[in-house]
Amino acid sequence: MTAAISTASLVSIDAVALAPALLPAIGVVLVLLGDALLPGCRDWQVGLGLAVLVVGAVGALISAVQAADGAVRTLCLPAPEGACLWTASPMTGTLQTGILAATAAALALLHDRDAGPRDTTVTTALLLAAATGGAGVAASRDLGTWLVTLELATIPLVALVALRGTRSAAHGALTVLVTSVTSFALLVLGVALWMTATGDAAFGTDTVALAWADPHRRAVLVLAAVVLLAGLGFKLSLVPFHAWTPQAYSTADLGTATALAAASKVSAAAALLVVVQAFVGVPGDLRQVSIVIGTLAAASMLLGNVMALRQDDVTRLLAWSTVAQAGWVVLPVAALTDAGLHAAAVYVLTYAVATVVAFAAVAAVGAGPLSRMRGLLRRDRLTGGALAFALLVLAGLPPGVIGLVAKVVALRPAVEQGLWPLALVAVVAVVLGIAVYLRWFAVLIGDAGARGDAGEMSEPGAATHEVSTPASGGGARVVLVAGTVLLVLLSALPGLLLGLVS
Amino acid sequence: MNPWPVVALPALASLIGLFAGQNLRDQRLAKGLAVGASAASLVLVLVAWAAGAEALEAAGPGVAAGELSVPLALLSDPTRLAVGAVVALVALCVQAYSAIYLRTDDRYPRFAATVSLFTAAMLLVVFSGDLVLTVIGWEVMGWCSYLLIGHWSRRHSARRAAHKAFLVTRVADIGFVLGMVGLAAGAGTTSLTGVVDAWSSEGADGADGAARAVAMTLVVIGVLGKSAQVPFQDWLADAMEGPTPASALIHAATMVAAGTAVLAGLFPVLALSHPARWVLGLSVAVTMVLAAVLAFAQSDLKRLLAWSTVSQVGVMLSALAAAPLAEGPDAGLFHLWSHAIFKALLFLAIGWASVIAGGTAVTTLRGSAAAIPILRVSFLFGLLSLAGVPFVVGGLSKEHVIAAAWHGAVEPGPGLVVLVALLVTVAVTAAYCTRAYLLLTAHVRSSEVGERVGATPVPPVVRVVLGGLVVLSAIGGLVLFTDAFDVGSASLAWIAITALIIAVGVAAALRGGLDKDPAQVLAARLVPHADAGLGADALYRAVAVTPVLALARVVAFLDTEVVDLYVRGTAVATRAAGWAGARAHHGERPSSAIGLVLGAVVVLALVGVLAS
Amino acid sequence: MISLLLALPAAVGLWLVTAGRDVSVAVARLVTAVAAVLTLGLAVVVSAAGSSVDRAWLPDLGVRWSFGVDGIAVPLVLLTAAIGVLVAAHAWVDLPAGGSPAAFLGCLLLVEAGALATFTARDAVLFFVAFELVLVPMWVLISRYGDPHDAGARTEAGYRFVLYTAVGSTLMLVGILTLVTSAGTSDLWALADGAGRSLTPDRQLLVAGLLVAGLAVKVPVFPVHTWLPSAHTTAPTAGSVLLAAVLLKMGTYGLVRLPVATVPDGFARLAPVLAVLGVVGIIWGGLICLVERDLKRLIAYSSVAHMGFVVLALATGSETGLQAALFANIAHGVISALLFFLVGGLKARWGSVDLTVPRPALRESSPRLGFLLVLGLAASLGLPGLAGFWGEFFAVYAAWSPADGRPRALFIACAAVAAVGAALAAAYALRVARNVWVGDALQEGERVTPDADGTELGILGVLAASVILLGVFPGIVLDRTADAVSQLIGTWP
Repeated sequence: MTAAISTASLVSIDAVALAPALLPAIGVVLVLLGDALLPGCRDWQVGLGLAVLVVGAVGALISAVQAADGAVRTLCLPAPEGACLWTASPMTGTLQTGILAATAAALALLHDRDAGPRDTTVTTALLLAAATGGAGVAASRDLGTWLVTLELATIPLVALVALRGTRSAAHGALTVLVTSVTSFALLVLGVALWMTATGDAAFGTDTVALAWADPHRRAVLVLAAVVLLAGLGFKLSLVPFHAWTPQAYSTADLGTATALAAASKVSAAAALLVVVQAFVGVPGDLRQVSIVIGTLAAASMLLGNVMALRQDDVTRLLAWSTVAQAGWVVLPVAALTDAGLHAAAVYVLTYAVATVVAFAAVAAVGAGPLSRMRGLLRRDRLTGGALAFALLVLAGLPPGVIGLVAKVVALRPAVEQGLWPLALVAVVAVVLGIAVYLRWFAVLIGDAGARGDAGEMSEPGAATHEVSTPASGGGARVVLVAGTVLLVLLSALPGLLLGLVS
Repeated sequence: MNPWPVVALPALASLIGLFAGQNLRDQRLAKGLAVGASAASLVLVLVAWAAGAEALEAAGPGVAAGELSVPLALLSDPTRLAVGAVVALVALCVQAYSAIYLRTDDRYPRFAATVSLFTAAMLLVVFSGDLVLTVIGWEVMGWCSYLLIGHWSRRHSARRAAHKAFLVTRVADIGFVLGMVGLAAGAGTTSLTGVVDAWSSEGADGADGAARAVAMTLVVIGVLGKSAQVPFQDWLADAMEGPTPASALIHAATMVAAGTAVLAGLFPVLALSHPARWVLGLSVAVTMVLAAVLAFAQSDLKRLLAWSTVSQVGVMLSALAAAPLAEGPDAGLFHLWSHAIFKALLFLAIGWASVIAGGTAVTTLRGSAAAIPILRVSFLFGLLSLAGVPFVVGGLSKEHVIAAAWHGAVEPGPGLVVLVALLVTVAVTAAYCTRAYLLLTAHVRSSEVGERVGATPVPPVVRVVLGGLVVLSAIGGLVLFTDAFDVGSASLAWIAITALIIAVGVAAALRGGLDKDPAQVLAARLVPHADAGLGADALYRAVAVTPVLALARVVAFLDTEVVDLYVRGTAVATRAAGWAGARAHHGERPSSAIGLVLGAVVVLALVGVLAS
Repeated sequence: MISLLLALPAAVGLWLVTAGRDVSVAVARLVTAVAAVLTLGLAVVVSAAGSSVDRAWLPDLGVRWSFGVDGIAVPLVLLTAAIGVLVAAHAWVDLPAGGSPAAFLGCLLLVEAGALATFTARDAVLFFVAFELVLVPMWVLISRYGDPHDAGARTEAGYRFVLYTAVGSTLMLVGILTLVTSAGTSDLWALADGAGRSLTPDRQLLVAGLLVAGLAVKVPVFPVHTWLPSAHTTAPTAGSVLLAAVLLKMGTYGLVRLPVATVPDGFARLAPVLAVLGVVGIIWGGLICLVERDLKRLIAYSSVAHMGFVVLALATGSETGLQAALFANIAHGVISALLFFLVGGLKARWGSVDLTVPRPALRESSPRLGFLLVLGLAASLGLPGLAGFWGEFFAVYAAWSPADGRPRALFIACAAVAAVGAALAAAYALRVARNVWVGDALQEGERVTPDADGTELGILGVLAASVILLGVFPGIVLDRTADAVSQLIGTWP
């Protein structure tokens, strides 16, 4: 970044660069206006939302490709060397693409079924708002914008969870609310500490370097980092800040769960990268920060997989898998190198796509016990195949090459920096993960009625669960197909994604 | 002459026989193939030998084995040709004989093919100019012996005997292979000449000497195994379970004699490594006496011949154990040569006798040869040779062995022990030969013999085979006038002494008169133990089989219950962790509280740790 | 050309797997056979003419899409392709239940493709990806098409295989990444030409340790062999054959390619440990074979023993040792394929292959099967003239005179133990022969075991012939590998 500052063109407002955040925001306004002007018909809002998101995603992608040389910076103070509120590096653009696309998918899933939420306007607006926040936080470089957009990216989802109205949903919403309030508190505290440590209102490497040089300020800075990480930990559902995840997923409807699992994770990861970016290249021994991040990563990978191995409800399983994968996202960050950050971006995007596909498949089949999926590969080859492929990507097994490559990419910085304990934990995590996803995979290829395909882990009699008819329409299918095509494409040419990020 | 065809012909015949033979309904092709191949190789060898070929090294298909050079060449010189000739001859006799003997056997083609392979392997060992080739022939012979001894695999005793024979020899082969490897490692090549140069040029002292002693001792152990010398002696007697032609082959020209051929090739090295020679000398000294005594006390004539083989192979090897370096190994080889002839003769003869009598036990065979001239003559000359009566082939070769031992006795080494053992053996051998002849030609009531003879006339082929061998065992000594065996002249004094000893043995055997079984007269109490081989079999079980099996059970248990524990352990641990985690995340709202608390705690803890 | 070699089985395999029930058995068989034969043809061409592809794949990691063959890879590529044809042909003999035949055959082809990719990869990371490629299809083969009698055992064996080997391969990945990040290139050729040796001794030791630990699982080396018996026993015949003949070779090949070639100094420091583990494996497997009741498990344990010879030979670090290891690799591939086809056929005929159950002797009831079985047993006990001999003899030799710097006494002791192991091999081979091959004459009306004929006989015959061919003319393999090996050793300091 420091290099980028000197070469940065001083532009007051660059609408194109801002598009990823602006478009959803405009979308929100339009939706609300439209609902106020002509109540009654409300199907168009979803369409509008989707259109806005997709266009925004494309715009972000384009800016990512364009910004290959340096960083596009805007909303800068009109002073020489003035700080900019918006810095879109290629990685930023790619992450924004991911966020918007994932939100679009969530929107599609959310309004896929007739039994979906009642108030289209609100849900659409909320999702769009969350997308705005996500796109914003990815590009923000100063504490204020960062904090606001980050919250904007998460708070709406709480509402979405609550909107479902069922009692359990209320519980879930309550949990999520408590969690996010706590995390918000932590974040504010962290930001304050950061200010005092660095005396800088932005995440700047040079100021961090100065602060690190001075022991006292260093302590404060470390504390700030720790607190910020804790706050982000809630949003990334890293152990030990993960407890809300399973309930939220299982109580919310699938669309919301998708938003939580994919879009908001990418946003949170983007926010994390913004913070850590400030530490990259700082002279001196940053082991303390590494340890903090590494601990979170290790704990998440282990606990998440171990718990996922026990789950029998697909959404809960996915929730725990999210926890584990979040650990994988953070793993390379612990290296505190640019390569590490890129790796994290690559991993979180891969994970997001695969998870979206998985949720879409679940939506198509209908949530419920694992045993409901038995023999899916034979009953419904499209859904089953897509799900199977997504699982392989998550497990990191060929033919899901992109998943494997993502794991290689994520492991590489840690090994490069000689974080051996972390690397060994990762080895264990890989194996546990394979166990988790193959267990599901085994159910998919099992033939209905046959016992023991899912092994002793699938509890006997699971197949006798009542099967509620999956009322899924076209939306889930479209998401399914699009996501799978993307995964297959990336598996064939993993270089694409890697190239986009770096 | 290039010896490769000599080896290749029988090998090829066996391959064809193995793959095609079984499918041919009539066995004519199999017979033609087997007999033809062995005849062809015999002719080739004889021609080469007669042509007075010089020593030559026939290059082979070398193998790229890294630093080690493996030329796989064959050597051909008069001595090897002579031995090869006798091998091929015996093989031919056996093939021709078994074509008759096994004509009703449904597995004759397999048998003939295996015999061909056996012959090829032995010829390979004889002509081998490369340690690897020696090992190959050596092991292949072992496998063939397994197949031949177990040919009548419908009989439990045959299965057991084959199993035992192969395992005992294979255990000894551990030493053989390691010794060969050691020799090759020292020389950097497996070429026999290279190895001999490398090891016999170095001084006998220091590390080289020690390495050479170790390697040669290992080789000797292998030889003891294949040659059924103490402590591996017990498999050979059981090997009688095989069809008689197979026994003839194994005992006369191949398997048991192979050790002599190998050690003769390595003689310059062997002569320099005294520990190896001591091992060899002591083992053969014990063996030849013990085996001779056991032979005398057998209640089964075929087993008597088996034990006599053990004893005679001891005699061959004793020449190598005792002969001075200058004298060379040819005395042993010459005894191999003559032994091949007369032992083949004896086995084939007794084989037919048992066909007539319907068994090989003393009681059955008693008098079976009396009424049949050809058998009587065969037994006469065969036993004369075996007893080492002067001037028949067996006598001549034994004289030279004794002479070699005599020369060796004055040098450091086991010479003296060997010499003594030899003399004792001569006496006992004479005794059991006398016994065998008495029993076979005893005058029992001619009626039953007559009708037995009438029932099964001796076919012409068998007559020819036996006759040929008889002639050879009578005049075979003439080979000394060729350049085949480089042995000194046996002194008349020794001839006289041995004649005397033989006379003693014969006299002892005749103490009970002509119509009694000397074994019953002299060693009645020994007979049952002798039949049991002095319980060596039980010893093998107790020492080797039982412990190994026990160990195997322990290992199997460890493998599933201990080594695999960490695998199952991880699975259990994972489940336990999952269970614990589930307990921690139980319920709805409390869980988030737990999360928050944990979170706070961790945050503070981290800060505390790091601020320090 | 080489791309085609890899793409053909992969594409056909994927198609069959996805097509599943839409494809009739006949079509699936035919397609698989054609694909396998074409692959073999391509393999021959590639091995003869030599072909390579090299283009950027992950430019950001410096990983290239680079495949090619050299003397070390050629024999394994040919072996894999040939075995592929045989398992394809075996589809006419026996198609296991448990799923659609097309998917089964597709998985076989995918495994073949993965193995081929592994043997031809010239980039460390690419090698790892190819290494992982076989996991899922093989897991499906075991846990779906495996032994129909015991679903629980099937699942257990499947997970055991995939998780166990995943531990190994991930450790290997850490090792590869360490190597690549410290050497600055992931090109195996460059690494072997000195990029690897430029590392500090301790770093070399670390890399070698990780790589050996990872690959040891696949080989398998005692004490991480316990996945093998259950996998071999449970897998369908074709699966066991692929496992034994191809997958295990990926482990030894990896050992040659990665630690031995790239970080020889680090490997040399580990060599004594590896040698000891190898001989322990020889004895361990041999002893268990003396008491094991299930014939298929017995063969599996004998694989552990034979792989012990390969590992010992590799550990010696001498040219002879490497030659021995590579030859023993191929030999074991052919022999174990023969034995597993045989035992699979027997299991199909008898329902179980428990040695304690008295059955009509094969020599009496079905002489052809019996003959082939004895041939296989003789080969696996290392009988000269058959494939098994050369590798093990030279392995013992190499152990007797290891490369400079290795503890000579220890290695000589290992040689001795290995020789004892050869005797054990004889013991268990004869045990099997005595239990299965020979026996009393058939009684009247006794149910006889149907003898092998048609396709099955063809498959077995081909394998038997190649066992003899390799035994009589070892140069077929040794001459191919010689140059590559001496070059590999020659580049050592």
